[in-house]
Amino acid sequence: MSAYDDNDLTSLNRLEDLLDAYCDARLMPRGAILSRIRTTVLAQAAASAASAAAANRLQALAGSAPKAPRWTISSPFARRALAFGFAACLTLGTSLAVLAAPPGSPFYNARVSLETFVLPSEVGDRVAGHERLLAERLGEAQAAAARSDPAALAAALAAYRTEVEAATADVGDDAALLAHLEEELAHHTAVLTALEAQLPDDAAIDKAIDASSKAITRLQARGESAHPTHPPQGGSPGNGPSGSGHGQDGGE
Amino acid sequence: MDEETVDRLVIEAKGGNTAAFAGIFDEYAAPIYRFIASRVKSPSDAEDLTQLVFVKALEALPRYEARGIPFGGWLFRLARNAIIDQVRTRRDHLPLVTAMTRETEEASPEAAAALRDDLDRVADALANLTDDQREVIELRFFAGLSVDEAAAAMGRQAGTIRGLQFRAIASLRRSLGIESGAGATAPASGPTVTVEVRM
Repeated sequence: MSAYDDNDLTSLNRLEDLLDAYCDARLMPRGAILSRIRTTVLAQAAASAASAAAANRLQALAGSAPKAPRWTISSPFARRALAFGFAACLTLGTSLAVLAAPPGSPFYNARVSLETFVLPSEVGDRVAGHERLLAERLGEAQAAAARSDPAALAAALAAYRTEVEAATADVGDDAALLAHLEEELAHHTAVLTALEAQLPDDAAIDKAIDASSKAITRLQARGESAHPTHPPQGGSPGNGPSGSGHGQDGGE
Repeated sequence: MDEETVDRLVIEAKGGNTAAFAGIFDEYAAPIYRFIASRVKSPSDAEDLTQLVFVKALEALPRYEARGIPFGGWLFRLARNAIIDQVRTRRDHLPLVTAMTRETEEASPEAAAALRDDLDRVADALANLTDDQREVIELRFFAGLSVDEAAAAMGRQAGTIRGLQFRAIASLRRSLGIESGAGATAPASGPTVTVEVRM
C-alpha cells in the first residue's frame, strides 16, 4: 500500500466503489437462493453423516466377529500342485468308473478292452487270463439275465464272443492249454444252453453258443493237427495228446 | 470468521458434525456464489454450481488436509474446477449482463439508467482484462479472498497474485477513466455491498 499516494488511494477507492456496485447489482444472490442451496446441502451432509456412522458401526461389528479363513492360493507352486492333484483325481475317477463299469454302461467296452490289453504275455498265463475273463463275462450275462436286463445281457455276451476269439487266437498249439480251454468252453456252452432255456427268444445267447461251439471245433481241429490221435500211416500208435507238443516225435 | 475458527469447523465437519458444516456454508456460500456468478451466464447456473461446489466439498472434506493451503483457497479451487467443467460441457448460456442485471428498483429512471451505464462500463473493463487478471479481481474483490487464498485457488504463488492484481487494477482504472487525480465518474446511488479487500 505504501506505493500509492493520496491520489492513488482516492482513485482506488473509486474503483472499489464501482466494483462493489457491480458486485451488488449483478453478482449477489437474490432472494432465497442461498437458503435453498443451504437446505439441500445440509440435508445431504446429514445423510452422509448418518451413512458414515452406520458404516462405522458395521465395521466395528465386522471387526469383532471371528474372521473366516481365506481360501486363497498365492504360491504358484501350490497352484500347480492343486491343478496336478485335480487332474490326477479326474483321471483316477474316470479309471475307477471304467474298471467298475457294468455291462450296458458307456464304459463297459472300454473296460473289456482294457482287461484284455493288460493280460500277461506269457502264453499259459495269458490263456488262463482269457479263461478268467470268459468266466466273468458269462457271470455278467447270468446276472443280467437274472435281473431281466437285455441290454446288459447283450453287452456281456458280445464281450464274451470277443473274448472267445481272443482266447482261441492266443492259445497256440499247446495240447494242455488247448484241452483246458476246450473244457472251459464246453462248460460255458452248457451254461449258455441253460440260459437259452430261460430266454429262448434272446438272439445274443444263440450267438454266444454258436461262437463257443465253433471255437471248440476249432480247438479240436487244432489239437488234432498238432497232436494227431491217429498216427499217420507208418507212425507209432503209442503217441497221445498228453505229449508235450510234438507227438510225432514222441515214440522215437 | 478468523482462520482458527474456520479450521476448527473444518475438523469438526470432517468428523461428521453437520452443524460445523453449516457454519462453513454460512461463511463461504455468498462469496462462492459471487465468484461463480461472475463467471457464468445465468443465475440458475450460479445457483446450481454453488450447490454443486458444496456437495463436492462435503464429499472431498474427509480427504482435505491443510498442509499450508487455506481452506478458503481449497474451496474456491473446487468452485473454479466446477466452473471449468460447466463451461466445457454447456455453451447455451444467456449473456451475463442481460441475465443477471439487478439494478436498484428504488432509484429514479435517470439514476437507474446512469447506474446501468456504469455497470456496463465495469463489465466492459473486466472483459478487457486477461483471464488471469480477471480471475484475480473476481477472487479478491467479488469473493473477498486473501492473497494466499486466491493463490491457493488459482494454484499460483502469492507474489504472482499480487502482480496480476496490480496490473488488473491499472487496466481497470484506465478503462474506467479513474486515473489518479482525474475526476472519475462516481457510481450512481443505489444499494451497495461492502466487500472487504485486502490489497
